[in-house]
Amino acid sequence: MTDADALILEYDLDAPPAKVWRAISVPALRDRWLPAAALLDPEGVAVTPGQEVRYRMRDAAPPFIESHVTFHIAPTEDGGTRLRIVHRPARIANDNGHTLMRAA
Amino acid sequence: MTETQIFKALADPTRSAIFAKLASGGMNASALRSGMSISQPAMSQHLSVLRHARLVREERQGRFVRYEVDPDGLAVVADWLARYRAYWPARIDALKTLLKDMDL
Repeated sequence: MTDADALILEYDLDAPPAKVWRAISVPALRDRWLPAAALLDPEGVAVTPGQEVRYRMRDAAPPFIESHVTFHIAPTEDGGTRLRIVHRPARIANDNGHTLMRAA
Repeated sequence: MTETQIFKALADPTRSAIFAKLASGGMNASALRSGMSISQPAMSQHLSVLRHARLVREERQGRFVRYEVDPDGLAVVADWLARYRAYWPARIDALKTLLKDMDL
């Protein structure tokens, strides 16, 4: 990992990928383990359907830092699922103060 | 320096990459630019934003200026990461419970 400002976590889950996909992408199911209160977009964005979904989150306390969390799933050899979580502060500056600084 | 300023500074992918590069060790501006397609003025601008956010500090060494990660800003980023490092395991436990409850 080369990021200094990202959290990357991996978990092995004892369930097939198709089932885990529903748990992480269907709002009614997702809400049972990741409450909508933590999310800015409870629907999420399926980056790659069946494999990768992304949500925008916001800290519960001031200054309410926004972040992006991506859940990526892949099958394991024993029929289970490896879940990879990449969570980092939001990459989109939604304030106009620094627009001039963005020229690269 | 505020938490908001720090995360706003890191919201730019180029600045995030510069910060990550410096996190592996301090270096001067030309070493920092090698391997990155970025002009010298743009690099100066990004370093200036990072310095104002207290993410990077500079140290003059003769003719050169050496840039390194500023422990003050790094501590704020580390706090944010630590908060979510503690947050996700509980969510994943809830996900595992849900997967047990779900039909195939």
